[in-house]
Amino acid sequence: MTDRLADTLLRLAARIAPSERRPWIEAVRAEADLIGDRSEALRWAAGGLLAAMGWAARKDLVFLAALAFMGYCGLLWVQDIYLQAAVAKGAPFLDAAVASQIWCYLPISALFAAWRPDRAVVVGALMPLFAWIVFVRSLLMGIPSQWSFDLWCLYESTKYVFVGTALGAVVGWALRRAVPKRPTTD
Amino acid sequence: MPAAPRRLSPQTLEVLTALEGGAGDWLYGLEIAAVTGLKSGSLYPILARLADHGLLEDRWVESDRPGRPRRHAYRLTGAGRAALRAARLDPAAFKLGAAPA
Repeated sequence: MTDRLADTLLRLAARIAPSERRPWIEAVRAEADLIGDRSEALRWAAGGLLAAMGWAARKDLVFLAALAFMGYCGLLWVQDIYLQAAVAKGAPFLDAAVASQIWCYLPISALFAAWRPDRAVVVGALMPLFAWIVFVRSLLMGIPSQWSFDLWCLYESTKYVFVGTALGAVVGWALRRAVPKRPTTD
Repeated sequence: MPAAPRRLSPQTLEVLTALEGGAGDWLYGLEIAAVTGLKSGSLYPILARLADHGLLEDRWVESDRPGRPRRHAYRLTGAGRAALRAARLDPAAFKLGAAPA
């Protein structure tokens, strides 16, 4: 029986993978089912998820953009480490640095939502993910000054993401209504 | 959709070699991974690509234990064996999906 977490990863992989590649994810799942060691099965499943992400990125530009965004979040995460250090020292440039970081959410979420308004909800949910992760992490670390700061960051990011996603989705839908669909050739 | 010709990576060569080592037997993903040392995240895209190019054939095998999912098994095709020979002769010039010279 596949480990529950490994099974979840592979279910996610099957959702992400393009339809013609789903049998390959089933193949990964069948092998994962036979791996006795839990951590090894998890690694195997994580590999399946990575493969699915690679296939999806080649097929779907939106997914590729989402991956790029996750990379961007990774960069912000690194930056956040320096910001946390700055909080501890009370550095004066902090507000401007955080504000500029949060302001990035608005145009990015607007562009994503305008590009694929049918996925605006996904965009809206994904965008503040980084802020959530940082907040939960600081909660777990148990330093009140950090988690109150991160809660503020989360509130600000969510606000800008909401505005950006809503604006983008409205513009995207309006554009799609205004521009007629190209006829398909076959 | 036909894939564009691409250079054969060392990992792909390893997978082809592992399948050749099966001597016509059907091999499972775990067996190929054990021989090549590749992780699933690298192995399955390679297998899928090789199948796209007709270099390996695949089939589903019912598990002998009830309730277990079917396993996916692979073996080289004639084209796969020819490609492996060509790649060994001139690895730098060989391209996956290119028309044979």
